[in-house]
Amino acid sequence: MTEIRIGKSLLSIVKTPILRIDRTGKILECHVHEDFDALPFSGSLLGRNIDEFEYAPNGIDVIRFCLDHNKSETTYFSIPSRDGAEKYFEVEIEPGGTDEVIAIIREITNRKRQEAELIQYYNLIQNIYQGTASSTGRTFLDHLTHQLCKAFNGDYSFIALFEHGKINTVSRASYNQMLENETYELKGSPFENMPKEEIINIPADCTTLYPSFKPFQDQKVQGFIGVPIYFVDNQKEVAGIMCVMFQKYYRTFQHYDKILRIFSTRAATELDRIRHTLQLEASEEKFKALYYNTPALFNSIDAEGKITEVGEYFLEVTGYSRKEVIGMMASDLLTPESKDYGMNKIFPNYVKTGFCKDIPFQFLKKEGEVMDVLFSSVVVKDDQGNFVKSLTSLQDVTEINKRKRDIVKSESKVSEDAQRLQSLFDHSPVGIIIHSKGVIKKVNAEAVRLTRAKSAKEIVGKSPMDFIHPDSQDVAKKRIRNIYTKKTAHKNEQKFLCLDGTTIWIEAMGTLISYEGEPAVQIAIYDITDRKEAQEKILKDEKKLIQLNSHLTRQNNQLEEFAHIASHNLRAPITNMMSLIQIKESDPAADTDVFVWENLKKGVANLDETIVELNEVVKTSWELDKRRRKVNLSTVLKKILGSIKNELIEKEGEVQSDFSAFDAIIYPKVYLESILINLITNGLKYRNPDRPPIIKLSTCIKDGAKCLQVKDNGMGIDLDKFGDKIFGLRKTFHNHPDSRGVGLFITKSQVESMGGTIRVESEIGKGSNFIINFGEV
Amino acid sequence: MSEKKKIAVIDDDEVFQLIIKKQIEMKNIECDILNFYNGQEAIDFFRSLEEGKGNGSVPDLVMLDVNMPVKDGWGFLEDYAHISKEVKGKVSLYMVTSSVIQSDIDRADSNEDIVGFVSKPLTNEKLEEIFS
Repeated sequence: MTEIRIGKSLLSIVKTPILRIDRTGKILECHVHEDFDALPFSGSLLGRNIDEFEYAPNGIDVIRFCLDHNKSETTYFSIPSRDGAEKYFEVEIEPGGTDEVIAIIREITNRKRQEAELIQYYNLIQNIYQGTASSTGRTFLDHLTHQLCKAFNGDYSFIALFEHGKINTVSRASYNQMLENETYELKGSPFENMPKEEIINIPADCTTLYPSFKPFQDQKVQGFIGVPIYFVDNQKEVAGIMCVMFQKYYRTFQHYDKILRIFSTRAATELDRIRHTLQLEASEEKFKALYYNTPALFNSIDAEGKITEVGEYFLEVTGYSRKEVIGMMASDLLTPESKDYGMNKIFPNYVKTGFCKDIPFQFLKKEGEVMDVLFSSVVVKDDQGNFVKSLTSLQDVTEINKRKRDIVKSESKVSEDAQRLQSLFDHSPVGIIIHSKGVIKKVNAEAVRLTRAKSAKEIVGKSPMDFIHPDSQDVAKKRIRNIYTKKTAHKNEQKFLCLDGTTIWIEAMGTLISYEGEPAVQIAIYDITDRKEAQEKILKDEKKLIQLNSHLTRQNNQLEEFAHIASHNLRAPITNMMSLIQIKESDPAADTDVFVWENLKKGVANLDETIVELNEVVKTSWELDKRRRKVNLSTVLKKILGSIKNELIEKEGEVQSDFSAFDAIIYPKVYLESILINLITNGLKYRNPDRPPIIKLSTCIKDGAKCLQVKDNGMGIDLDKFGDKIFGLRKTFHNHPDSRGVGLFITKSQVESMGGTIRVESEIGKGSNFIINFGEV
Repeated sequence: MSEKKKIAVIDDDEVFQLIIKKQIEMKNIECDILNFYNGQEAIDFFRSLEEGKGNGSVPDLVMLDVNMPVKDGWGFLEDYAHISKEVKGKVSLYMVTSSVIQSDIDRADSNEDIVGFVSKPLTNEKLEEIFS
């Protein structure tokens, strides 16, 4: 449809339609860019007359006017668009010679719409303003709610204040009329947790969203728009709400919130005004009450100082009857102090000047109650200037003075409290250290004492960590960190390093405080060394008890084993003898006789041997003198070597000893002898047939306990096989004629009964090493 | 008793060994008696049977004492548990001891390899019971 060839023309970039039209309205030439699709033009425009376009009815008139006056003109037209809204166009018409014009068409729909909105906005404000302008206070608010309803085309509107969890409406209106004020719950309303300075805009479903909010339910409200109200002197706290409600869905108009904001400020001002008026009224009421209730007590006094006249109010307040008071010396109605003060300080001057004002006196009421008064008086003279009387007035200031005293009292209480706190700090039985940024700022007397310092000067300025024992540094650092980060008090026990180097246990309680405007840590410390020591002692005692208990358990096990074996070993030969008797009874043959007798003899010998052995066990284990005394190992060994001299020679044995670690031991002598002789003879008994036996004895100290080693080069024992059985009763591990399995059992029970332990290291063919730990000796 | 029985007595008590031999003789029971003086000797014998090295055959009856040197009755039983069924299948193992302690009796009862627990003295009646 291009009437001129674009692409080769400058016009190709012009998107605005341009037409050349003659005086009759005929289109002589036209340019419409292919992107321009706003106009309902179809087909070729060329040669058509603009009269045909009904949407621009006055087009031809404007063209003629433009040509006749030879000046450019602007005209407008609009056409309905496909979506129903109007499209607006502006046509600029320029005369282009005598008989034709150039018409430039621009779409101005957006501009038009904005204009329309602005006009609406303006009108709304105008309406509300006009409806409210003439009033102030409550009247204004009533007008405002009403006008808001109308302007927004809403159904209800209210302005309310939030007071103590309630919503108290100040003004409430429907579209047609004003409504009674109501009170709603803030809880469950859209204003609970209201975001600051936010417009609340709920286009629909209010009843569903806030099922407990009364106004929504009562009026079946669907849409809502509201703005918070702030008082001028408190922009932080939302004071109330101004809102409009809709029973149907409403289309948000972008200027509603602006309007609400504008008028909310005004509403706040009015609410403020109301509030202040109320306050003013209240204080005026109070003032009046005070004014009327303050008694001015008038009386007259003659030249001698006697009361001559009194007012009714005087009598009412003081409780005296007129009869009583008339003729009394006025000064007698004062307390002795006031009387004295009046006569000496006030009266001389009063005589000179003839007046006095607001002198504080204490007045005695009839019932003896003291009333503080301000005394004012003036001398009345006759025409000759002679004294007639004093007219006095008393003002009861008891209540006022009481208030004053209260104030003074509470002031002094504050300073007393401060002093008491200081004194508490100074004399606290708990040490207090205040530190900030790693430096001690302040300490009290107890802290000085605990740190063993001479004065606070020695401590202030040091690092608090200087006083913390290396063992407790981590705990203390953690506590300080906790105080700063968690801002709560933290407590712990720690070792404390005094200035003189001694260590004490303290309990430290740290709190975050503000000291001279800086965050600081206040630590309360007290000495818990005694408690700690007692605790440690208890723990130690408990450990001892456990040791004792396990010791007793071991002994008990040994006793059981002993009883077990004793019964078996005694019974074995007896059962044999019983069998032999049965054989003898059933077979009287002579050779049987011999068999029986021989074996009976063996049985009796066996029995005797067993009893002797057991006796030995009993004797050495439980009946000996267990008293500990100082014994020298070398002395004991010497004695033993003397007694086994022959055996040593016979077996070519050698006993070596090294008691350089220790020689003396506090131990029962008999036990030590028995232990040594058992281990040495054991070494000789189980010697290796390939070499002469060498037994080495040596002492050592291991973890503070005295130990004795007896090492031989004998046959050795297979510990994998016999490990725990080696010290058992009647357990022998060698096919050896001498082995009876008693010696090691006795040795073990002796060592253990004195609180020690015995163990063995051994390797077959190389020898055994018995290690005795004497335990705590 | 036509067939000749083979009996193993494991007991360190020499007198008991002699007595048991005498008792068997008096009962006119024809049998071979093997004497072991501790558990180790006995288990060595059973192991040799298992390996087929040993001479002689598996005993029909074993009398086991509890308290013995080197390896006691319990120690023997621990090792005996590992002897194959083929070897010990026909063996009747009795624990014969002077012990009258209940814990020993209970322990014997719970051992699969033990047929019975007999307290010494081994009377003729008890002997017959074992041999029956």
